[in-house]
Amino acid sequence: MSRRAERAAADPERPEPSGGIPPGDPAGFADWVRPHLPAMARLAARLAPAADRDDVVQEALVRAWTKRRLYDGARGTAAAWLLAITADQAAKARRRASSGGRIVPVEPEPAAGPDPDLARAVATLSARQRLAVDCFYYAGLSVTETAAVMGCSEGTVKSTLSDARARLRPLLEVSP
Amino acid sequence: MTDVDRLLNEDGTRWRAAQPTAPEFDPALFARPRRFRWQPLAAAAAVVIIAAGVVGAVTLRRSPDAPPPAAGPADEIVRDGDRVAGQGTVIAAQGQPVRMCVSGPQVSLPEPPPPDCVVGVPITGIDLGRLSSRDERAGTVWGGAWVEAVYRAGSLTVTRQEPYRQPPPSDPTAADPVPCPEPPGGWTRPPADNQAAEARLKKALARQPDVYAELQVRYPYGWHLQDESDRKGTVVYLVGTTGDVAAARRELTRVFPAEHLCVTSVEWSSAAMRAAQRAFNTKEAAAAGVGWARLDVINDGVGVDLVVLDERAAHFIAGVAGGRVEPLPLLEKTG
Repeated sequence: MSRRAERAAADPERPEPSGGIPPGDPAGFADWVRPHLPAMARLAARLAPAADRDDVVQEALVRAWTKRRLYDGARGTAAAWLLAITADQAAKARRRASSGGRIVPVEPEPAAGPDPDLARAVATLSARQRLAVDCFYYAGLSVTETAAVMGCSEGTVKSTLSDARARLRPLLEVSP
Repeated sequence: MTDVDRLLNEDGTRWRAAQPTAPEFDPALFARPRRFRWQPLAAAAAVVIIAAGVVGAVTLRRSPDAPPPAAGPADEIVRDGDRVAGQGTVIAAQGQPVRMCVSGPQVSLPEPPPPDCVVGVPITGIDLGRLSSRDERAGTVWGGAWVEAVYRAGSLTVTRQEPYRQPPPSDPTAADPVPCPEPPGGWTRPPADNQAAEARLKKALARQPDVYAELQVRYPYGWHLQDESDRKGTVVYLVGTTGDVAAARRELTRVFPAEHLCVTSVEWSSAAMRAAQRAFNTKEAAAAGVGWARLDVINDGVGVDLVVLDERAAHFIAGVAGGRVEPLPLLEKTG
């Protein structure tokens, strides 16, 4: 079983890739985005933990609606496109939070995971490595979707994740 | 799978399991996509620009491909006993009735003065303690609120009050639609010494304000998350004409490079827009409960702010520019 198939089987919320132009009517558009809402919400929660997750998602949906004609199914899945927009809106939410006088770093801050030791170790990663870890391991995105969010190739995602794991290994004192 | 991989996978699985359910899709966001409301308080600085007569990017953004409204204007007119819903700025000044207002500009100061109520409708039953971004100064309380209310005899009676719903922020880095086909190889950046050509273009447009719209500069590659090319910053000069597009293009390419120019057909010339703006900047408009005009060059339209589109306001708006002005009431009829 491929890695993607494994992840899909492990996560019943994960939508299958879908293509085609987003419908131009609100109801059709709603149907088009609905399967991707769980992943969008997880990504928003992970990348902008200080912001209102649902606000970030709604802003991303509005953005997707206004830009729907720019979507090109030949260049990537609907999920990847929507997740990239969500990541963009999460970044804006972070900037708004930081400019509003609240002490919130502009770089993705480490949203706490259940394991505090692991959370501390992840916090030592570079921003790029944290983003890859957040997308892949926590938001549950595929390598392809993570690449869309990070704006890089799938190979770069894999190497970034590998670097992140290598950096975490001595911190967590686990075997390779 | 390495141990680190396993640890991260397990931690991620637990984290996902602890997340609340994803939000429901809110179709209300798209029910009226042609109207992207402004935040009444914080965005008011932009209103100053419009009031000063500068048009362009700081006008209402209507998606050009948005679906048409479900009901015609006649169905949107609010009459006695109608229920309405929407949001705006509530201003309670000493010695005056509490009003839902199209508010005036807010100054970005630590202690801003109360906003002006450009046009307002008396409102009862509102809880001033629950206003969003509530402020109080010089005996005046103000803030934002979303309300459901009954409209009767020129007043609103609140039946439900909620916090102001922040509209989605606009994205200044967004790619602009360009209504001309992209040239082979894409749009290119104008030369750095383009100012002289631009000045000539503006001069040509200014000679015929009743034919041409305001010049717009659009960024066709302004936004794309994965665009790492050097195309960002490429601009296209967009000119709207109420006349013949081909003839206008021939005329304008005499003074401006054709490869950076897009000429398109529009309904509103620059002169027509400004005439509409002047018509709404009058005591008569205020008396009809109609606020100021928004000149939407980007989407080729003129909108006008008001609290409720009642018969008096609708009659006034219909008398301007042949009825082409779009009313933008804060509160709209719900039943």
